[in-house]
Amino acid sequence: MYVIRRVGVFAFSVFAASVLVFTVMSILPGDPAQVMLGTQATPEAVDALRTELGLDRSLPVQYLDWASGAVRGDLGTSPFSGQDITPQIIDRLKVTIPLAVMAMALTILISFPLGVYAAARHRRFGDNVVSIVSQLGLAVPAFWAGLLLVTVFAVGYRWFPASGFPGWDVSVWQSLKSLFLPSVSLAIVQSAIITRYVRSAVLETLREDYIRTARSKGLTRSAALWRHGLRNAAIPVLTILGLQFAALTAGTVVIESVFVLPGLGKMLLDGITRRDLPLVQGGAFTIAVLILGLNLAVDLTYRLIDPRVSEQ
Amino acid sequence: MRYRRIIAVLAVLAVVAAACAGSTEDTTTSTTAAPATTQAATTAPPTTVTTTQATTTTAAEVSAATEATIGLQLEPPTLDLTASPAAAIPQVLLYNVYETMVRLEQDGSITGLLAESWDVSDDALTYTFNLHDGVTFHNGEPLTADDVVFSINNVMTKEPPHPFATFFAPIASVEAPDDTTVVITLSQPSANLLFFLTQSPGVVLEESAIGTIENSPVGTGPFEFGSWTVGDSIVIEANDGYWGQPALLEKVTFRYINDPNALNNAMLGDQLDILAGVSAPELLAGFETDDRFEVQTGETYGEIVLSFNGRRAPFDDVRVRQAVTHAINRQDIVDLAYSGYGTVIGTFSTPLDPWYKDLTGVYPFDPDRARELLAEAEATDLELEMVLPPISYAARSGEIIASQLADVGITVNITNVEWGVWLEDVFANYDFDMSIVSHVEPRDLAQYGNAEYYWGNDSPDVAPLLAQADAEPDPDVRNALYGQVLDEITAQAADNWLFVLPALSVIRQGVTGYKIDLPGSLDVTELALNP
Repeated sequence: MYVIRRVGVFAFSVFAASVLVFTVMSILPGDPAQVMLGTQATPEAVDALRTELGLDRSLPVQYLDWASGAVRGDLGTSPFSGQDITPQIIDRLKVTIPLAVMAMALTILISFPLGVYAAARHRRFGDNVVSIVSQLGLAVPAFWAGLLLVTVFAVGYRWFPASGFPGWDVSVWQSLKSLFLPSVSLAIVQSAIITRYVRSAVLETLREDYIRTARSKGLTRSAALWRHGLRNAAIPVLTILGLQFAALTAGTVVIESVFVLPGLGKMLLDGITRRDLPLVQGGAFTIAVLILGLNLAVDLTYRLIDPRVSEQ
Repeated sequence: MRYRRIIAVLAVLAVVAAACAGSTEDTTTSTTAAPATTQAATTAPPTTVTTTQATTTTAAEVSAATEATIGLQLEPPTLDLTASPAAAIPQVLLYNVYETMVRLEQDGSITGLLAESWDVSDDALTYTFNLHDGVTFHNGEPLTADDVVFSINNVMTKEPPHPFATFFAPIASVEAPDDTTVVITLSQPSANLLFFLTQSPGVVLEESAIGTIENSPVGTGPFEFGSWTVGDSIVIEANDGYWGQPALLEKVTFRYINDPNALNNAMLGDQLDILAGVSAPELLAGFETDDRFEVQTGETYGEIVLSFNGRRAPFDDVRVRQAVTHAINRQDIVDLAYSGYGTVIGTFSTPLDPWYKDLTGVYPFDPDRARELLAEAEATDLELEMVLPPISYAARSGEIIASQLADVGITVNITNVEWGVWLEDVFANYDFDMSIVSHVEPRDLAQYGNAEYYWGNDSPDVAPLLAQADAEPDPDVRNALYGQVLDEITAQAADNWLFVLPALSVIRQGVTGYKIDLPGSLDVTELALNP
């Protein structure tokens, strides 16, 4: 029952997302046929192209046509490039998902030690420094951090490429290098958020009875924190991490444009500018399905870990 | 409980990430006839790179001396130049991948390419081209005169129409009496025919490859199409079986970076060999003082036009158009919006046109005269809508123009729109008072005879003069006729022609054979990288 209900909710959400994505794109001002033909176009040529693209049909007909393809994994063909959209999206995900995962990994590496350190030094100098730095980190827009990093490390020192992505099949090392600065830019804001969560979660647990008990048994403050505090503090922090992953995916749209990475986010922005409706619909729909799918997978995995879920 | 849920989140993420990083098969478009390209040579082995990571990996190191990377701003929307007029398509493909019977040179002359020679009859109605022997397309098919006939007929008769079909309107018929001879017969003389044959409508296509032209073009050029990663880059590779002088490079990558800052940074970070087309000229100073680079400037056909919507008030009154033209100091715009690069013009023509004349003196900067004309036209307290496309020169020029017009009592409301919205509102629906855009197509003066064009020029004398000029076989008489067209549209102040967009490029020291003065094509056939 549980599985069926979950899959049912997933299917409905995907359907709702597809309708939303399709409708929003179709009511955007700007005619794709006009954009394709540019400043040399005659009105007759624009009309002919609209017919060829099927834009003269009613919206529900266009939607059904698109959705029936999407169900089979065929998101259509870009009228601009003539390329199939599904393989393009798969290509783009090979940039976007590693970027998001790398940014998340950096976030954890930065924020956990900082947060724990700040909590251990509660109201002392170290805590104040971390608190000010994290305030600053929160205030820095990711794209601005990206521009600064490029100026210093790509243009100044030339340690990292300023933009672009060579591709995993060309060079894994170069690809990782080109994802480094973008993931740092994303990780700065994320780390600032997570550091604050880690700090308050650790502080919270330090006030718990079991810590007092541990201290009364003779453990030092830091030993009690290490042995009993951290595991308990991790729970709320990891919850936030999960939520932030979705925010991170949204952040990749901007960062991919700053670093000219051929990821899904840049594909969406380029597609919107060009009014490449099938491409943007496909891209936005893919992101929606990914996030919904992630949720579904988590729910189902969770049931494997804890069978009591189905009884709830 | 929640803890386990988080473990599940992380587990799923890890699986997804692994799946993504793991699947490295190449799904970009590739040519069917992929030559023995040395992709392995470009792949820096991780072990050796690790040792050099502290130093820089420059474009030269990654690409050796046989591969060049060129940074550009605007990516082609499609590679099908028979469907889209986008200048970014021939920029990459013309003369590199596709060839024409005759080509344009940097000095503006026209020379033979696929045609060994050609003759024009005395009445200027018959053009006979003799094609080179032994030319093959990239797919192995031999080039014959029939391919040329097919290509020209395709421009004239294709559905939906070819974007430049009107260029070939004077052609009555194209014939191939034998495999190496093409005869074009005109219904009336056409001065521009040979020029148009050097441009994108003149490319010779292979009929059997036309179905995949939008993502895998097949031509006869010294480079064959390699791959296109949409939103990122186009790669062309040397054609080993080229019929003529082979290209000097093995591989050229055109990287598309839309943001001017990111484009400059890629050059400064040694990722590019050539930065073709600098759109933020204020950033050029940084390159001029850096001895790794050389800044080159050249001419283009791109007139930046402040267009007036002649279809509706107040610009249906010639005095208002003249007043606004008097009120604007064009040199200020060049200095402030384009850092002083660019030539001020006073009409719709550039110094590259054989009929160019300097009409900058017709409407000198004169705010007093502007106020008089406005008073005469009883157009006081004007409030005008300026709709601007998302291009840096437009936004900058727009601000300066708004402040200059404020001095003569005109209020300008600026609306910045996306390209798609601009094309719909301004270009198709004529819903604007003023706009700014560059008209980059060469020899596009004919648009002043086109009553449907967005600026709505209503001068009745222009269209007949244009037709007469194009049909005139004597070049001097013809240029004089085009000059009359310029005089007429300038007298009408049909639009305000601000300045010519300069070609601004940055090349790495040691790069030779870059043709900055060649409009319409980024011809890399003679490009070489010297250490």
